[in-house]
Amino acid sequence: MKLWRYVAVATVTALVAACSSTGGSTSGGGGGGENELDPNATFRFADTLPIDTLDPHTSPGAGNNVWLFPVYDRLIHLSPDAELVPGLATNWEFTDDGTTLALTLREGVTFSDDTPFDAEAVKANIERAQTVEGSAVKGELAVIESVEVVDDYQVEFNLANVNSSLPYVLTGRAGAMASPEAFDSLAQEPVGSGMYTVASYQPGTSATYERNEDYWDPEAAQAATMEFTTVTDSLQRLNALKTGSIDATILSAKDVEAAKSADFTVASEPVLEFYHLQLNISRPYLDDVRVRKAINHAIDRESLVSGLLFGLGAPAVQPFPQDYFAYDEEIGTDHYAYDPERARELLAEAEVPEGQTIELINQNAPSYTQLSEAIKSQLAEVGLNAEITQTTNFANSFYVEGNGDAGAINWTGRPDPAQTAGLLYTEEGFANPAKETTSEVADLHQELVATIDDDEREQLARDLSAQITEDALDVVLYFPFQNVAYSDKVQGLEPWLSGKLEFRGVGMTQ
Amino acid sequence: MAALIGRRMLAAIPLLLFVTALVSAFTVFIPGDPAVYVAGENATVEQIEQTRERLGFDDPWPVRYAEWLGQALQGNLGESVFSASPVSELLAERMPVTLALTLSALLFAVLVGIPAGTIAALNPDRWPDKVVRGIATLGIALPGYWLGLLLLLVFAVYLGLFPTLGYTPLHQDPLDWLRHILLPSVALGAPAAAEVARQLRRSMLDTLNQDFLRTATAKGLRRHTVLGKHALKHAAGPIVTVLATQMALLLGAAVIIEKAFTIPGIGELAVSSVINKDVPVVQGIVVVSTVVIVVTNLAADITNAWLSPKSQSQ
Amino acid sequence: MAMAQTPETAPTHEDGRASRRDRWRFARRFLSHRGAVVATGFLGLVGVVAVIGPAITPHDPLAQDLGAVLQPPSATHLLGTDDVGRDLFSRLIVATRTSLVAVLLSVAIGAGIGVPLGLIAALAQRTGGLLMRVTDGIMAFPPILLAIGVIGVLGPGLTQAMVAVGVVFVPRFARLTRTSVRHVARETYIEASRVIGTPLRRVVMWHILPNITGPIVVQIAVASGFAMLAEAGLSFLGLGVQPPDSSWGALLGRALPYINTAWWLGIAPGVFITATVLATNVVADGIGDSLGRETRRDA
Repeated sequence: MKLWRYVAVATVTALVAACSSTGGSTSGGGGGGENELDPNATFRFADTLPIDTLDPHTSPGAGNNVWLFPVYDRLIHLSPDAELVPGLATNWEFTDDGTTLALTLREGVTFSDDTPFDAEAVKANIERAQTVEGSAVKGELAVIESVEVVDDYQVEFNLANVNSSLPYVLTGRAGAMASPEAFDSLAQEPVGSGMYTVASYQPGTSATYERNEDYWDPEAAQAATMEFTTVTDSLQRLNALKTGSIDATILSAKDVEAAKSADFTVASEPVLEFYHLQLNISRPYLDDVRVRKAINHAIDRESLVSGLLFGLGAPAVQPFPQDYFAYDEEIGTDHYAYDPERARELLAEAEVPEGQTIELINQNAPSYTQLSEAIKSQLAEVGLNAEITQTTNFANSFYVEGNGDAGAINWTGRPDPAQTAGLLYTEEGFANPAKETTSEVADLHQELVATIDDDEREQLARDLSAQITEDALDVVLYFPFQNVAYSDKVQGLEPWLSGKLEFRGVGMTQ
Repeated sequence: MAALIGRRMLAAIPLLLFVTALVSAFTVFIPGDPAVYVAGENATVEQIEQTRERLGFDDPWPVRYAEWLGQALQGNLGESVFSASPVSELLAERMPVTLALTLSALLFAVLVGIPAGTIAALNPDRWPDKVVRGIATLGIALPGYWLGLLLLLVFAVYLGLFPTLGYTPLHQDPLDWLRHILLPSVALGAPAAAEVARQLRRSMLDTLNQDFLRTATAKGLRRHTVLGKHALKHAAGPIVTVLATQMALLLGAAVIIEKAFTIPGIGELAVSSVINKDVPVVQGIVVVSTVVIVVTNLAADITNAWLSPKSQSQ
Repeated sequence: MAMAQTPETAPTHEDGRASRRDRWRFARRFLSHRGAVVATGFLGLVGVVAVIGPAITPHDPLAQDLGAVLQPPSATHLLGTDDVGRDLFSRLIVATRTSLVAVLLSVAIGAGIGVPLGLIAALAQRTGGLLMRVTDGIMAFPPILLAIGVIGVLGPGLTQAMVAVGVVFVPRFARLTRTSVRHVARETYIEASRVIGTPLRRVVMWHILPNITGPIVVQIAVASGFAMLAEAGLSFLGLGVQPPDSSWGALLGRALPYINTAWWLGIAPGVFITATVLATNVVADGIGDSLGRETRRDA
């Protein structure tokens, strides 16, 4: 197999050298000879989740982004710090009091089947994303009433109402641009304009990417080939890294020490993903803010982070991480200090009987079970009796069918705080088990969505975060670090605040 | 022979109908709603409802089964609810992997089990017998994934002799294929090898004690001639039956071994599609594994008929 | 998932009713099987621990200490602590009962339904054929799907999971019973007693049942071992016992992610499962050998 790969790579490289004049100088650091990137390198990565489909518009989860984004550019991109940066649109602004989003498109881009990328292609993509059978993004794009082609590289989205989240939505799968010529076969044979093309694909398990030599950013694809596989178990990913089957992966906290002692680099940073004990606030007792505050005080977040994550996480009480623009400094991380006494007082005030049962819905996997058990034990300290019920499908059981009173689960994060707040803490929010909220939170959320000025928006996002925490709509636990582990040959890989790794600028030394 | 094959193939048809109908009825009870996932993580409740309708989840199961059957009879096994990949493609991609794994495990069972069983039978109650019986009993008692993980730790992680994950098709690179398949085959085949050894020992002891062999020995035939010509041949019948039973068992146990070794076979697909209620994929897997089991049993019966023309199938 | 293995042990060909003499011979032979006696003793010990377990744990098996997770074995924690800081030794003791009850339940269901079914199938010709076709169908059914389906109907939980395993056993017991009965029924004396007009029920009670006990007892012992492995497998997939309770299989499944950081967690549960399954198999062998014909080893 190795031999074949070399032959294939050599052939591709020879072809590239023959046809392209910009091929050469792609060295990232410009450092000494040892750090020289190998333009022919193969970068092998093991992801944590299986890929569902390579069609970005029917792909149901953001977990697929890792696999999709090397192939598909979006209209707007996210930087590693989760800020908006130009993608296929070089400029975007709200006009007509925010009821129009006008985009200027990047010129000279073609899809990998040589179909040109232009305003017509954008219109075709948005309309497809809204209407294709099985679209998983039509909800996010529902606000776009029509797409108007102004000229080849100018396009306007006419909106039903002001929606300041839209530019963030367009950084996701909803804003992914595919070749209109290939719309019918994207699931298996994707055609985008991204920095790589897919050379082979096995549904659910693995894909091989090859560099798109015509990509508009020559610094983006540093490795000639990328091979992705899915390995759902962290220990197996660690073993694969150790045996040299892969070059980089993401590890659970428990395996970080072992990777470091085997001389791998592990970059650990908080991302937008957090764990929380979600409460169904329509349930008896949980509809009382004092009880929800009591539960917040009953949780010893520090010991959860040190015991379950070996310190590789940040305890938190609000749904956004420190240093992120929606993080409220005043509320901080210690608004609900661990205080079982205070928790008992609050429970007594709310007349909760000693030994009151709370049904905890638990996603059936060891890491969630571990967390549920730890929470059960901490709640027992303040006189609450948590009973754990297993489910194989948490979202269905807890959000749709409304089973249980609470559930410890992770929230994977969204590019825009308004999305996270909307889904978790508003009446329409899919991931709000009670489909109820407080009027203050509802109002602030509406205002945030309707505000397009960046500075005002940031302030509102902070206020919203503070209000959610103040109303104790949730029991946020911690932000686990994303632990990106890689061999010493890998360059330019780091955690992305979005939590979804993109591989721009990732390469391998000789 | 042709009549036997024809009869079995005909008998397989009601079996397939029965099994697929059972799956269809059973999946109703699997908790969860795939529409919640398929509709996307930012979906509204209405979108989920639309998705259920589009995928036909609201129809009662006999209706869905009839629709599926109609398509299946025309050779179309449908599409995965999640990936929209044709089920036949998913099966074509993964079934060879699982078959390669189970057949290698079976081969391991034969290569280890038959010599071990023979040695044990030739030395009843002496030390080689005791060693074989001890190891065989242990082999059956070890949880497969535990053995798999221990093998993985020792041979792949600490000794670095084998890769820890993945799979290379045989036709792509036979050597790499062997490196990938060896440890999982051993982990999967160990209980089968133990079973083969035990059964072989038992039936060889029975055969060796039969009168005609005693006569043969008495007539002065050399012991290994007796062994090779008569005992092994007579004991082969039960072993073929054991191997056929083992094939079905290995297909089931492959689920866990594939998970432990990250092999992209049918087992991993089976578990995820059952848990996620991806009914068309489950049906496809059931159809294929039923066919494999029917064919295996048929092969076993034919072999048995060939080994002993007088033997009757039970 | 591991399925029950069915070594279709040939039925015994004892003549007539099992007599007291036979029983004595069985006991004598079994006792001369040193391995089987030791294994029986071990199983007895496990049984005792299962009964008195909760009374003899050195620590509260549910008491957590997030400050002391994944501790290696020490004087305080003989087998170390698990991933939320609970004493593994205490959990192992308490889990014994769960595991044993699970095994007994699934085997009871498998044999309780399978054996009568097999009898009916063997004695009633036409219904028998049909029953066996249905059994074949169920056996062709992937056991994991069967188990998850049953758990889906009954809801998650250890009892439900073991009912599921029991259902997986049913066709195997039915098959073995049918084969054994048909072997026995072909014997001349049984045909003879049918001819002279002995009622069917009497034939079954006096002649058939005593003669098929052997293979069924062996099968029960073998199935017990597999039920334990199946419980471990289902718990490995997270479908078995509900937290924070535990079984040996669940303990093992929970330990696997830590196998190269805290390897000792997986050793004790794995060893206990293996030892118990080993013991049941040795006992099964012992019973099988003791029931069988006089093996002439001087050949």
